[in-house]
Amino acid sequence: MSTRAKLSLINFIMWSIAFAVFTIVFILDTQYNEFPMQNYRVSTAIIFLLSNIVNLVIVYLQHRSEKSDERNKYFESLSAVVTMIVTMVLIFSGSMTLYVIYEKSGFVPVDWLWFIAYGAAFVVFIVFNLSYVIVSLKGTNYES
Amino acid sequence: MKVKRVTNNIKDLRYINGDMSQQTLADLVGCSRQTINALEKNRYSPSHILVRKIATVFKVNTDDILQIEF
Repeated sequence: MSTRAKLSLINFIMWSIAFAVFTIVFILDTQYNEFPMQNYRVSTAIIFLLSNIVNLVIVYLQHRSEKSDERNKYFESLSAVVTMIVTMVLIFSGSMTLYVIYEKSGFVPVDWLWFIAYGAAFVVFIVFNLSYVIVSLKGTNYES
Repeated sequence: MKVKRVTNNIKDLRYINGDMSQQTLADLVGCSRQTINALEKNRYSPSHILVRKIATVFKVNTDDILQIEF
């Protein structure tokens, strides 16, 4: 595995953990009111900000460790396509799930919009890094 | 037309040309060492421009780099 792929794997793990923490904080606060004196919006925004700082460091290390060439760009474009499709499917599924759950009551708690917005951003980073690792490990064969 | 097999002899050409390292070839053609390694292992389909660059470095034709079996 190349250094770039290893760093993508680290980035994937970091974003997955951040998303798990984000989800826990969000659910505990909005569903069980575990942190009545704290605002989940601030907590989740801090988690997102810290993740982005770590992400920037990892991306910098990736560019320093390995020269960006046509192969990297091709892998990145493949990963971007996978990310776009997966994110679209997840947002669609999430929105439809909320619709089905809250259809009878006629309104959706506004907190879920916050979760979907931030969740989509987390999913983009998670899926992009994971797909980059898979694509670089699998490689691309010649056309037949 | 279906392609049966594609092979390349970049590794052999490197050996013939003074046992050139992957890093040297990568620097000469402007790509990463990992890309040369992936090419030699048939795990990456290169662009025509990259094949031309490699052919220019080894002073051979592009057909001497890639062998396509139909």
